[in-house]
Amino acid sequence: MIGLLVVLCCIVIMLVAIVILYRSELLRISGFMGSRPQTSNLRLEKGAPLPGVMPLIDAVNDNIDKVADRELEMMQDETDLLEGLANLSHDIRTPLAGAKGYVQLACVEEDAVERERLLHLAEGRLDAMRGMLDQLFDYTKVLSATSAPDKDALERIDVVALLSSVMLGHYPSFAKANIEPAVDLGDGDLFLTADPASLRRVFDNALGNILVHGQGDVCVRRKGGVILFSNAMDASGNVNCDLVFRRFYRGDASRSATGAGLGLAVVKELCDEMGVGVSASASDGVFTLALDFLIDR
Amino acid sequence: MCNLFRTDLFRMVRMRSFWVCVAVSVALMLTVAGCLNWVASPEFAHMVNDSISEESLQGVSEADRAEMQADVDEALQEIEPLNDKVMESLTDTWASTFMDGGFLALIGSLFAGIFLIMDFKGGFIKNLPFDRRGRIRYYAEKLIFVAFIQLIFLVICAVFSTLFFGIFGFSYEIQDSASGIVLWLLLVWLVCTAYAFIVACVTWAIRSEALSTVVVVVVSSGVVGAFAKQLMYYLGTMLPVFAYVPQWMLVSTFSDLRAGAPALMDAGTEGVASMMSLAGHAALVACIYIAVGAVVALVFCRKKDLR
Amino acid sequence: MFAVETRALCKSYGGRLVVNDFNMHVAAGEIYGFVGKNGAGKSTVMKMIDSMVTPTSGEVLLYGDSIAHETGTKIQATRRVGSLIEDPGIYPNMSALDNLMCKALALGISDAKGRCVDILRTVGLDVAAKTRVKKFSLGMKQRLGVGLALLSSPDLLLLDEPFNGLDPEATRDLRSLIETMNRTKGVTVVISSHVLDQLDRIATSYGIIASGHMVRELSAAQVDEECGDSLRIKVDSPERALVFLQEKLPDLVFVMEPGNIIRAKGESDGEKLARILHEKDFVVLELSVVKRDIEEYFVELMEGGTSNV
Repeated sequence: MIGLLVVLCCIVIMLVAIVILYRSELLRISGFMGSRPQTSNLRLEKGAPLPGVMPLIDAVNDNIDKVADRELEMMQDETDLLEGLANLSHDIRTPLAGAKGYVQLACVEEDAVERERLLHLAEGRLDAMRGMLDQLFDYTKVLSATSAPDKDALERIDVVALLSSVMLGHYPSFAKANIEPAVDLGDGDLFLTADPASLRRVFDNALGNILVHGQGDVCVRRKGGVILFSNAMDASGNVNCDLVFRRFYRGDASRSATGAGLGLAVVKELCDEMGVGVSASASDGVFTLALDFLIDR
Repeated sequence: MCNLFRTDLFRMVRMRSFWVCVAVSVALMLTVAGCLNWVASPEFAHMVNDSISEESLQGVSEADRAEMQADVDEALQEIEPLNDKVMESLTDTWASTFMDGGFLALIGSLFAGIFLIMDFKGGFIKNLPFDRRGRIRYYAEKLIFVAFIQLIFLVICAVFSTLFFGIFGFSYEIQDSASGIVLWLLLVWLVCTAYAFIVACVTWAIRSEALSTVVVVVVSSGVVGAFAKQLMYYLGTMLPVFAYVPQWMLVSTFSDLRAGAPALMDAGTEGVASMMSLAGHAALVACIYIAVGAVVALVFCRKKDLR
Repeated sequence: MFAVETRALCKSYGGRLVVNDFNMHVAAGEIYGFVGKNGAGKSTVMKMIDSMVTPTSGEVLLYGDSIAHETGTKIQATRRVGSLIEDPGIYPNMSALDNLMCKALALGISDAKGRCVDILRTVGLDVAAKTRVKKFSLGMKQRLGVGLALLSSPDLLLLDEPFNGLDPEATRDLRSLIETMNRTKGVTVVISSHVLDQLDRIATSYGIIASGHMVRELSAAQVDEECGDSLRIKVDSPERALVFLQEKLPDLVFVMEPGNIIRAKGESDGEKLARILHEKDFVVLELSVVKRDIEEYFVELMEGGTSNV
């Protein structure tokens, strides 16, 4: 009888203790959430091994981790953007200074022929600068378009036909650069529902990239639903295929070629919006840009 | 504190010294059981008798020889039950196996000392929060863990000695009641914890491995206690108040418990002890030492900085 | 708000005042270089901030809260601190991973094993995870110490001579780790070090201690300014130029150095000097700024003297 009472008492005491423990743990957790400074790295500690409370603690910490990661990502993006803009302004400043220099020289030049030559050179510098600013403007336009897509502009596009038409448009530029691309667009139709202007821009930039950076052999071919743009790179070119779609990225470290490094970044943005897979690879001195139109299916 | 306890468990099972102590305990249980088994065997009796054979008694007179024979006969009669492999009781067996010589208190305190000093030796303690709240948590949890260590070794010794005695075919004259066994174990645990707390306080106060081991060996084994007890009795002849001191010493409590579970409910013989049962007195003394140890640790040892 | 603030902090050992009326201010997000001679009291101050040692008098405030006071259900500021002071605190007979696990379990960290493995990778000890720490070299032990300090995701990191025993590669790795922590996680770092050129590369502000007392606290920018830069000028006619400069700018100190180089002490405005020389048709062949040795500057401060500009 007494033994039974003792056992009962023990059980009651244990239950009361457990309730008190739960209460104190919950208070601790809420105290932590309430008073944790936003910028702190602190995580919630585990306490007594109470069932139900441990998963809560893990969930709270996961949440804090996610927020911290997101903030870090945003900070990184901002840093990248600032760095890219700084580089771009540097790249614009140089041709601008060059143009000004030529004009200043032309002002004090007495020989008319020489003056003509200097002004022509100044014009060239200004054109280069204009090209970069155009690219930047296009990029911002693309960004604002992708963030607010225009549903009315969507059409069913014959991809091969559009590509052929864009290539024809670029023919004079290729001829001038003495490049004869090997073209094989295969058989069969390939359709995409998208804004034709966006797809046109993608092809423009892909071909433009080849014109600016390609050396020698150029090849545009189709394998099933994938269209590949390949060009030989020069020996000194060192392209990081993971970074090639990042804005302002340019393969040559010396930053001697013109261009803002936004061409392929625009391609990526537009392809992501249209649901086209885009990837880059480089091997044996050949750079290949691949556009996969069937990636969804 | 749960976190610190979890850490200590994690660390303890990875310590070589822990498993060595466990192995030593198990080995000792086996040794004691084995020795008693041999003593109980017929060969031993023959050996004793043979030892007083004619050869060894060459130069001894008839009268002396007879006296020696009588002594031997008396001794053999005393261990008569042992010949049948019958021990007095389970708790008595336990007491003779791991309380005589103070083994249990010794091994428990020794490991506790080793465990506690490791935090300071390698300096790991620097990694733990050591502000006021952190220190209180640290010392409180360590005291609880020290008590837990004593429990572990008590259980190991009790379980394995019962096992080995059982294997060797021993039985018990008096069957201890379950509650008696539990009470006895509880009291032994309290006394061992009290010894371990003394060692803990010394370890934390001095933070020296060598000194702490010395304290373990002389205090927890009962050596200092026995000496002090004798001293108290001697001083008691001059000043009666000293004669009451031994009742309040752990070493006396330890030897009281030596009698096993059956004697637990008997009243003590002198002073305060006569007012309560042996169990009550033992619990009181042990708890007093535990309380004092806890206070010393949480109030004084806590104040010591990490240099 | 200051991450660390001490007010009139004092510590005496056996009547000897080791730290005396020490006032320190470390803003959140800074990398604070704590500089002082051996025995000046740096480690003692760090230990007091880390609650390892109780001050004799004075206050230590972490993020505005005094560490001596309890804060109820609010987060205890001491929990936000990670430290490596003097030797790393370890269990020599356990592996590196087990050492980290012990601390992770003690602090109640979620997913303790995962976090420990991450930390080992961060400090470059993932290969030696299962090795017993007593077999580690000094550099490896230091790395483990840093790992232990970072384990609790601290907001404040206290490092006492962290570059001790590290080879140049490990020093560079540690330095870049500190910078990354500071930049991406906003960790405030207080480093006490003798290796001034390492501090020079990362510290954003400095505190100089001498005889247990704070001599001066200043920002990295102030150090640059006060460090006494000088100009090194090479011209076509050095002697004439020297005389001309001495007459034109009597406040500056001009010195002629071997190789006919003129040294303008305490001046870093090269443009100004170049213009002046050009006015008198001197041809400037070479013009460069020379920074004064930071070590010299600090040593002077550590001696307890005021800086001379």
